[in-house]
Amino acid sequence: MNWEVRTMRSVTSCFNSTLYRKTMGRFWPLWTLYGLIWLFVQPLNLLNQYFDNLRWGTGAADPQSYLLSMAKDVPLTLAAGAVLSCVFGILCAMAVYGYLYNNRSAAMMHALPMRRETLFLTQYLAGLSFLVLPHLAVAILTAAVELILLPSMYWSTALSALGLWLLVQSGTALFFFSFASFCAMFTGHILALPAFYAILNGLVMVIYTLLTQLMAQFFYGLPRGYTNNKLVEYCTPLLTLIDACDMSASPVNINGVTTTTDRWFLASPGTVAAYAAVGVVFAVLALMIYRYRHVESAGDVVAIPVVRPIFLCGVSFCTGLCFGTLTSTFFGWQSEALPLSLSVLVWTAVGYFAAQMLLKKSFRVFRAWKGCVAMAAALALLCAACFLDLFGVEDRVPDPGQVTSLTVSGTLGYPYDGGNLRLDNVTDPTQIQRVVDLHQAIVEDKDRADYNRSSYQPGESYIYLQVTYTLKNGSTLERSYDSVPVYQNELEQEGSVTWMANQLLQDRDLVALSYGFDRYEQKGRLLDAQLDGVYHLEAHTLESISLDQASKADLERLWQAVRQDFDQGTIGVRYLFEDQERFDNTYRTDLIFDFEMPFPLPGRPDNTNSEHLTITLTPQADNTLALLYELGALGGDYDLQPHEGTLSRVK
Amino acid sequence: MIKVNNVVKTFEGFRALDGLTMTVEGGSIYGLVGPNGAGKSTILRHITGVYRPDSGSILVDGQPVYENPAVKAKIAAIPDELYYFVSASTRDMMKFYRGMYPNFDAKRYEALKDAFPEVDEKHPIRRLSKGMQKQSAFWLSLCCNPEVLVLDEPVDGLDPVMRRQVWSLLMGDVAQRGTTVLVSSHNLRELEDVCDHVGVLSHGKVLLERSLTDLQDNVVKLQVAFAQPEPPELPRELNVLHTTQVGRVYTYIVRGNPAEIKARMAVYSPLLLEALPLSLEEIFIYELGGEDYAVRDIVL
Repeated sequence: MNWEVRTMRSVTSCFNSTLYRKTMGRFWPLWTLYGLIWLFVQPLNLLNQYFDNLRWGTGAADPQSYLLSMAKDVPLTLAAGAVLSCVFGILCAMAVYGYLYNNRSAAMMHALPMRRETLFLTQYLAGLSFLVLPHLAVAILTAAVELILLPSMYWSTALSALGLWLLVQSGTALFFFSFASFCAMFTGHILALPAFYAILNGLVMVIYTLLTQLMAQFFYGLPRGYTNNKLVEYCTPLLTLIDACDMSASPVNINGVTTTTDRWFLASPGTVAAYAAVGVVFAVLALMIYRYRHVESAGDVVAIPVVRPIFLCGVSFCTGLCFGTLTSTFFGWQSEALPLSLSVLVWTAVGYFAAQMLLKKSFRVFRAWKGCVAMAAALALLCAACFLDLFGVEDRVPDPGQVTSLTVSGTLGYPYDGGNLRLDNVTDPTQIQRVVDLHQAIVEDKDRADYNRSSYQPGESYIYLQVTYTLKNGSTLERSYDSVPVYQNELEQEGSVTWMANQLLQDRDLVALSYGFDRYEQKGRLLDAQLDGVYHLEAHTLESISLDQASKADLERLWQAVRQDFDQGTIGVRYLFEDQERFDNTYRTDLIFDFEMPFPLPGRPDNTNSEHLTITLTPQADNTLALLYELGALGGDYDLQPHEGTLSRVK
Repeated sequence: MIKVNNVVKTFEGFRALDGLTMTVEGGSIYGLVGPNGAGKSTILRHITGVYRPDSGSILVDGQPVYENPAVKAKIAAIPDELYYFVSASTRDMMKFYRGMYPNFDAKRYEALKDAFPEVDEKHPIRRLSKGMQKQSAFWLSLCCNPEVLVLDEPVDGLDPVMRRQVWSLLMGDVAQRGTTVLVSSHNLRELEDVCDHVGVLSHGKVLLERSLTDLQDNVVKLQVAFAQPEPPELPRELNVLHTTQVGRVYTYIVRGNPAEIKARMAVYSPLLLEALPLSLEEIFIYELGGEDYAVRDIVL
């Protein structure tokens, strides 16, 4: 047998054209609907916009420019396209693998003279064709519209945008359909397939969130809810692909004004390519599972026997965590370990029997109580380990010598302006020591924290602190403390939380870092300034005044005046308690500076965004106030009023 | 043609086939009978390559059938529960099977139209009556020109005329093309008319497998009226499966050679002694009709 003949036979045995045509023919409404959606979104939309512009515009040049901008915007549909791929991916899988979920159809299809590889590959390619062929058809039609209506000099711009859309949309479709195919091989029930698909799309993030939520309820200071975790995000494909398919225009600076170029950039082409590759891996895995799968599993919720115990444990574990924490939140038991644990255990049992009912297709599953007890025991151990803090999670405060840097933020004192504690990448050992000391004091004082108290007592206030340490071994440690009580009578009590917090507040270097004076000066470009909460003497209202009449030089002088006052300690002074001292020494008026700051994005290193620095004015800030009067922002109808006393006059 | 050797198949702990062994000669019509749950449909699904056995082998023409397209192309099957693509007509399915089975004969499809006049080939099959769906299945299966035809309760739902028609077509294929037919049915009277071999299944095993003639020659129904009011004690060597009495006439179902048994009964000088052949249905009932179908005493 020569090479050509062998190759041909091999190809023939892996693909059955009759079955492919039949599948395409049977499910034409599905791919037609998908194609129609894109037909309206792309070529028909371009045509419609073009002719609308031609009808209402002034000449032929405008519609063409408009069409060009529309053609360049074609990839903007990619983020929504990822969602569409996700939805149609599962619909296509339900269509092409639907024969696996019914005994009669499964028997009929598997009696046909072809190997499982042929059956799978043919159905897989048919399902993929449901998505990719409409893409191709829409791309061809869109290209035809662009080629016909646009001048030739715009063709490359328009077609490259269209090509990008075609590639990325097909990539996301490949991933989601392959993932759906993978899920399809694990179940024998058509309704279980979309459920599995939806669950597996978000399973990692859900479990991670549930676990952190549960642990946060046991451990004082552990952050609640979802926190950024790259691995978790990558295991949640829909969210990651929506982000990766985001399109942004590249910024340019023309005569001091930032605008955007006419080219769009994909946020993360590498991520899309990686997911498309993972899609191929899923397809291969699906084939391997299909070869192992028993035809008689049609109708079973879980078709692969070895997966059934995993399903059982997974459902009971997630039900226990999810509904256990929900129930405890509903009844207000978040910080009460015993009711919370009992709630988790009860829901674990419920989840276990529910999973058994799905597996056995019967309500008579209570004979399997031993498994339920084992599962509940495992969860009880988890709860006990958390409750007893066997691993010292709650009391863990890093040794300052082991901290490379830290990021800290919190609501720590007054006034409510940009000086609130918010520090990134603190590396100074003294400042690290101060934060660690405060952390240690909060942990030691944890018994006085009372989440259920809803009102302040005289002479007390609450602070919120979130700190993330980067340790020398490369790991991070994150803690978040809500409603930590501080007391005025402990201000001078060395070592108390109140004293430590006040030490942090009075550290002018830390306050300067929180305001970010140096950061704005070194990296930003001052664009504008305004006053917020200026008292109108006649109208008796608090209003905002923009200093847009001020020149660039005046704005710079104002900035320097603020800095000078800060250095003299007459502005940016922080108060731990909202007492008379704070009211007497702050105005209600805030001075706000607008800056343009670099904000690089993947593929767009020059990207910028705007940031605002807010600083509350004080009666002692002589330099700043003098300049504001000089620039005309204050004086006349507008003036400053002490913090207290204004409210009664404001309409 | 078909050799099933010691096949075991378990469904979630239930042993549906328990070391099943059977042989179907080429060109024969083999009837598979057995009580509900005996494993008839299960073994047929193994023979059509749908199920993978836990152990044992299934050979068709000496080749394993599972995942073997060349062998499966020789087999056509009509399951007890038919499946067609939603909204597909007989003609649509014909086009599908034509692309699937290399021996599909489109001319025969046209020729067989007259044999199934009630079936509208352009009408969706799911809208046809159960009997017409069965006719459609026969029509399509015969057009595949299979070497092996596997039928699970094939004539269930067909009217008597159409049953005769279908069996006639099948036997024509067997005679002209040497098609091997493996058929499972509860309609033993019908099998008796068409089968030349029979296998009896119980609890996932073949209890008995032989030609219909041998089977019928091995059991006899004797009607005897003795001169004395009470019947004599019959010799222990006679393997009497069943006894009934109506007046003075006793009916014995006895395993063994009919002539020999008749001769042994003659020594009692009965007033009436008549040997009657058993129908397949009677053989099935008496062979399996022990306690819970336990037929441990049957000497195969």
